[in-house]
Amino acid sequence: MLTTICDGNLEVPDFGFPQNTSTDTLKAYIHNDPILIKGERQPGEVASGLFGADHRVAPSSAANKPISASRQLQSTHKNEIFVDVIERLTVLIASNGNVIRSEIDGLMQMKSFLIGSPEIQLGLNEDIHIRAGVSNIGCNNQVTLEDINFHQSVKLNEFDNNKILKVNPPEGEFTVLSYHMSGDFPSSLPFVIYPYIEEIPDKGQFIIQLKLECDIPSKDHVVTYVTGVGESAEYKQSEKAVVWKIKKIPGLSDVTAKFKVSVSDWNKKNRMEIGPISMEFEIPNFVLSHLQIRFLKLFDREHSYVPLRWVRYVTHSDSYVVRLI
Amino acid sequence: MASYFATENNSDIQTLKMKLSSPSVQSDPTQCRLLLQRIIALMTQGFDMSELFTHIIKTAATSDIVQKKLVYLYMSTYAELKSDLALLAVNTLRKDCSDPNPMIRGLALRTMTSIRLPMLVEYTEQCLLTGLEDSSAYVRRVAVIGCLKIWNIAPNIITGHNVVDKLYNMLRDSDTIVVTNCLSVLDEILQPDGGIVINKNIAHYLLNRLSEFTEWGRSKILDLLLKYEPTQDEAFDIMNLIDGCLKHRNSAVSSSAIKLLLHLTKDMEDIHLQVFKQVTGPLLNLVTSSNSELAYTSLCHAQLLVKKAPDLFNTAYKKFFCRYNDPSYLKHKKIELLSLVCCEDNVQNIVNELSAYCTDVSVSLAEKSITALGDIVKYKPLCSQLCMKTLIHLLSLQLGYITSQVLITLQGLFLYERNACFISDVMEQIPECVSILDNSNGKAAMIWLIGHYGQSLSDSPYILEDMIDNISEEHSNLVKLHLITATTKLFFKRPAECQDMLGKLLEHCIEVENNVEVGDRASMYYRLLHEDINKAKEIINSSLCTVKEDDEKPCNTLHHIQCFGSLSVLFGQAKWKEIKLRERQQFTEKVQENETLVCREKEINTANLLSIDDGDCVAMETIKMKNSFTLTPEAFEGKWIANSASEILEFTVPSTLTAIEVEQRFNNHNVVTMATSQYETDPWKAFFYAQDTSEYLYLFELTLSKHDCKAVISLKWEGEEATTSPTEEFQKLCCIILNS
Repeated sequence: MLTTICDGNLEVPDFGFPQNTSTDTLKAYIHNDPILIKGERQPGEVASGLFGADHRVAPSSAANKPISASRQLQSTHKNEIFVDVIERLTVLIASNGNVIRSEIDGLMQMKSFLIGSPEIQLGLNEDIHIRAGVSNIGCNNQVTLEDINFHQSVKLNEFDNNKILKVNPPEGEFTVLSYHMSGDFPSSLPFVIYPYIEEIPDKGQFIIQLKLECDIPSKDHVVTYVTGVGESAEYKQSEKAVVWKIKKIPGLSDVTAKFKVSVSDWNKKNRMEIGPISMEFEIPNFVLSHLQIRFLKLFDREHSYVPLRWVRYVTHSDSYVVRLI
Repeated sequence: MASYFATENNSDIQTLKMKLSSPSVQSDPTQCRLLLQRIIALMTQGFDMSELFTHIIKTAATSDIVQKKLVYLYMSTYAELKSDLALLAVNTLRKDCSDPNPMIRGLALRTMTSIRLPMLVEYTEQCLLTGLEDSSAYVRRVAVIGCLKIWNIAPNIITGHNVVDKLYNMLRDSDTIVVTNCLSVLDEILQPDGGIVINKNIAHYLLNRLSEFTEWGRSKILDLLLKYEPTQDEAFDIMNLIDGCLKHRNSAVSSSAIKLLLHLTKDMEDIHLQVFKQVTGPLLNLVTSSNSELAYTSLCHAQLLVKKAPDLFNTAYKKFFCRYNDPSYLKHKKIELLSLVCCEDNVQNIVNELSAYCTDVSVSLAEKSITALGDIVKYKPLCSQLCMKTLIHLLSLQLGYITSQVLITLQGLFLYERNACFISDVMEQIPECVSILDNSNGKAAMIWLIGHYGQSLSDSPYILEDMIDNISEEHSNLVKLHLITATTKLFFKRPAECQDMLGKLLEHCIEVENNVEVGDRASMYYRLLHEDINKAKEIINSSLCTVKEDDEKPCNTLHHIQCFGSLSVLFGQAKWKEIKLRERQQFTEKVQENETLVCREKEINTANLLSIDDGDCVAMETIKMKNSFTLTPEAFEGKWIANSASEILEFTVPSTLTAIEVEQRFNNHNVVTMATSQYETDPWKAFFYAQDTSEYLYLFELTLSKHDCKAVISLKWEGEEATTSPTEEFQKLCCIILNS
């Protein structure tokens, strides 16, 4: 593998000038054989959908296979394509509950294990609007994006009318499109915190009660970043922060916690030193912007296989901050 | 894979030599490959594999391309060290340059041009020229870059064969990477003449083919098009063409496109402003990117644009709010920008946000936001009312570090007349601040405010009196200096209350205080007051100097648009000039050194990249000091005072130099120590004396400052005047002592 890296290093820059960074063409120059890391593929489950249309569910590590060169076609090679819609939320909520700032940065990534490079047609929601500027008013559940950027290889001739993208995916992972949205969203923010702070001057204590409410339609589950059974909380001296970990919250439910803070030299101004709450979470199967892939079709005249198409939606928190004072 | 980097027993050079020459390895390509991979791994780890040179060269004659690559990699690393043996490889390389496989031709040519040995150049010459006209694009690319490499060692070859003209012709090549390489190479070779010449034909041709180029090629072309001066119609056509590049996902392409657009419209005022608006979109996208370094760089560029068009980001200011997990440098930059984009419409929101940062856990962030609020007051007069009120409110929070920083900021703000109405509000809060201030800068600021505006506050003399009573516990010289000035100023306004404490203070500073500066100031004030009180009042209360321009922060002054998209935006103009000057010096030195056969590696001291260096001291014949010369302390003092004129010499010293070492070194050169301060203090002061063989007597005071790596010598000498001033000789000696 060291020599594969050396090979790459010889070809990409020459005397400091970058030559070629496209993986398609670079593959021809790398002569070392790749060492494949075989991951264990767990069998997928079959989940029942509406009207008896079953859809299959595969574990999230399914996409982490190596892309093997076409000259090493294995018998177990499956023709699959994985599409991820990943959104990152940046939200800032003031102490009075006002939302100061709310933005979504989203991107759609495609990882193709298909032989050759057939044309793929992706259909997005028909009611997408692209309007640069401030928040959308009177949305009617429309999806209004502030900005959208496409990959070079995406053909946009049918995008304006039918919102259909045509792309010939190169092997490996690439970003089909990236978009940005700010202001009001079609659905409400996923988490709301109701804080209550009580001061007890005699004992030199603050009691902070937090109720965390999850406003997502109930069939979705939320998993926060971390291990641990159920909930736990600890005080980290180095960061001067209390970390409260919750493994899962189902939608439309809430969790409460009470924290007692003892202060050595009491001063009525100490309350100002209570910092904001920052949340880190991951919400599978949910995107705040309501962007959807209506369909994904393949057009390949040379091969006659039926490929497996996997689609996944994930929302991450980039910076979700709620101020207490 | 981990085993590649494990040190095993068979890493022994002898074992490897044996294995390389054994026939079983030579006949089996897989084994040979593994062995070579092992050697390369050891080479990467830093072991010296140069002894295997001859053996490895023998294995170059193989048809296995992986093996060849490994051998050539080894060769280009060690050829300069083993220049006498490098000739052995030449035959194989030349043969490979005419191999039917273009990959091998390219590889061989690249290796030949990478070996920077002048004696190999005559063999490389022919292969290079053939390579420029090769049928395979891969080989042509390598050949073009090879021209540049050869030009660095032997420019006469490039000029001799008219390679420059050939490269200009190759701009019409069908392969876009070849064209990009030609552009880069021509630009560098022709640098003394101002770089490549972009005339109308070339410009039009490149623009028409723009969409075929890779992203790196596009970025290069857009940069080069800055040299072309189009007519007005042409300019509009060009702008339409590059519009697509603005939103390119590669930030280099989009910033080059922005630069070109700004350059083309610089004479058309209204379109220029429109262009500014158009480019904010792509720039803001980069600012919100998840890559912190990219965000920081785009913020620096946004700062540059805001100078020209201050209301550019009035509505988009929320993008500059700090995210929770942003690294601290990014947060600091965002706060700077928030203070720049403040205007009447958004001042409320921005000030709310900045006040939230003021109570942040991180002290430096809190200080930065307080300073930012001060900046808004200074530079945005219409928004200053709200900020002043916020700052005064922060004082009431009674948090130590916040109060210090607010007082320091306010000190600068009251120099502006428009803020005078807030003085009384601030002074009311001062008595409560006294006990919570822990920082000496904060204390000094508070004392200054009391001294200047204390007449309205009834308690002010008593606050100062407390501090004077405790002056023996006060460590900071800054606080003491301010205390002297403030008490004196207050004395002029409220003489009855302050007279006693002023007397006590001056007495303490003159008699007891060790620090020279404090003592000097106190004695000067004492003598002034003694001579003429009114005159003293006039001098000490003299009107404040006008507000100085801030030191040049990065992007403070508007650069020429040419700098957009380059590193100079991040460093700031002054520092960037220094860095470039240093690079040019190193380059000319390198060119001179290349005349010798072996190239020595130049070490670049990266730790000093952002600081100013003195020129290197040259070792020359120096004066010698007598070793039996002594002076008593009284004699020393007598001579020191008798000689009024002294010369100041400054030297840069290595940061690892300690006070004890310095004294030792001077002693070794027969320079005697008269007196020193404690070794651990910084700055460290000492007095030395010496007499040289020509009977010149040198007395000097050395101040060594560790944290800025400087040594300052205040020199007095006695002796007959001679043709060469002894100061120069002395300076050379000190240079050697301090920098050896």
